[in-house]
Amino acid sequence: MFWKRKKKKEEDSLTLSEKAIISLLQSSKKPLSTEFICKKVDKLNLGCVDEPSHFLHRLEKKGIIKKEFSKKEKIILWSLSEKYDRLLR
Amino acid sequence: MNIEEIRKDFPILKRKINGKQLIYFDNSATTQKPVQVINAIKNFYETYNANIHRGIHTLSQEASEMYEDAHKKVADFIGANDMQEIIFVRNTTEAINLVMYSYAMENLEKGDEILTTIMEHHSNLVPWQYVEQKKGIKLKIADIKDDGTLDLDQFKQMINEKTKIIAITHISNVLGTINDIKKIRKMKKDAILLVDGAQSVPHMLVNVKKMNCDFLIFSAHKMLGPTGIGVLYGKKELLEKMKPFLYGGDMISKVEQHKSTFAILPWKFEAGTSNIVGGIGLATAIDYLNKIGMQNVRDHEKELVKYFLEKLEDRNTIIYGPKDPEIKGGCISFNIKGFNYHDIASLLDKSGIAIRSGHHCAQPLLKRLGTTGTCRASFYIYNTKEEIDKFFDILNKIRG
Ligand SMILES: Cc1ncc(COP(=O)(O)O)c(C=O)c1O
Repeated sequence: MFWKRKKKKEEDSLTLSEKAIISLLQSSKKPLSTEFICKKVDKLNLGCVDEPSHFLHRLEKKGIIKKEFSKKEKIILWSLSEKYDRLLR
Repeated sequence: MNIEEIRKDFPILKRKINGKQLIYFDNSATTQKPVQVINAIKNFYETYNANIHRGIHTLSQEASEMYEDAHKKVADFIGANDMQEIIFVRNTTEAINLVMYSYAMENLEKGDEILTTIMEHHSNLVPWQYVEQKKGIKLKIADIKDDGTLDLDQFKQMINEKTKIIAITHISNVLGTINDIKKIRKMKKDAILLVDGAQSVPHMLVNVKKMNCDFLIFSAHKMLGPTGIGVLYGKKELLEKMKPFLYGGDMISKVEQHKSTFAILPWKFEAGTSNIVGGIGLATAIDYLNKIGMQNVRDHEKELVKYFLEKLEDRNTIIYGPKDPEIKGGCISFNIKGFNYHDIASLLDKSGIAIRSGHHCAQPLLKRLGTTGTCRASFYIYNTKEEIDKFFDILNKIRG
């Protein structure tokens, strides 16, 4: 869109919630569920309790994180995408 | 009501999401806009744009007239006496805040009571909490029954001579429950009755005289209109007694160095340059709804709700709120056992289906229901049974 401002670095344009999600996934050895991430980020009191799930999907749209639905566990599991590091730079 | 013809008026419905045809079931949050509304906005800026009131030139005269006509159209739509009872604000939230500041903070005293319900949107709860904290009034919150309807016996018992304001939603944005406002008015004739019509005015015939409410409040964006414009209806004698909410230009009659007198209604409450095009967009949305007929809107949604509920019912699904479409608006909240509500919304989005998940700005209600969130599907004039079929094709695959 014509009004979209030019970003310096993707990382600079991330919200505090997005940064918190990335840092959670960075420190975890395994993929994490929506509920787990939302509860953890909500504890930081950055905004309304529904916001972390919104930011999860925003990060997914940017290609920074990815999701997989586990039919067995009936949950979506989130992890960092292979290219996340490059995307943030 | 020809749904296929109606759908042609909504360009966004042609959009593909994740490669699939959009199915938009998030109408309680906001509705889509028909070309008539989009064109009215474009046409205003292309042909009539000017600031309103006091201008001598033709454009200003025309724009002022259009903006005033928009007030008249809203007045007719809800059965108000005239445009002096119609104040344009930004949204439902602002209108409730206007009443809170200009009526409650000015007139209520320590010991007075405000009665509301557990099914309110935060917009009709948080402002009253502020009055409670600032003025030492008592905020009473009536409960629901297990079927999601208001506990009217308890509600009645909570009313007494100290009850000064009853602030209640007409339709719950979570449960879909339609509250019987006429019955509530009969319980207490001498309290201020504020009705949050955000979920009712867009979906059914609402008449302020029949309800005998003092204030009715709603947002244009939930009824095909643009964002940034909402309505406060107030009885004229009340509005006349109330102090302005915002002070400055456009709301005055005479200004001296140290004092001012204020304009007549509704301008006394519309300080600064208004959202002129928003008002015109809202008026066009009302024309559109009137052409369909509000009873037809309501009947269509009742049919969709019935159809959806029949398909939703399953031993692994929890449905919140009444199941009788006669006492339910066009929104259905549910949870699938074992699934996170955000995950359901996310999986549906993959198939182009837009629903809302979470607390729907009603956290105390969700707590009362024993959950932190739900999935919510909500319908409007352009939704069809075929869309519901597609929705269940996907949902049934998810819930297994
Ligand atoms: C019942 C109810 N009241 C108030 C509101 C707040 O409306 P707005 O965000 O337009 O101020 C909503 C919005 O969803 C609602 O459903």
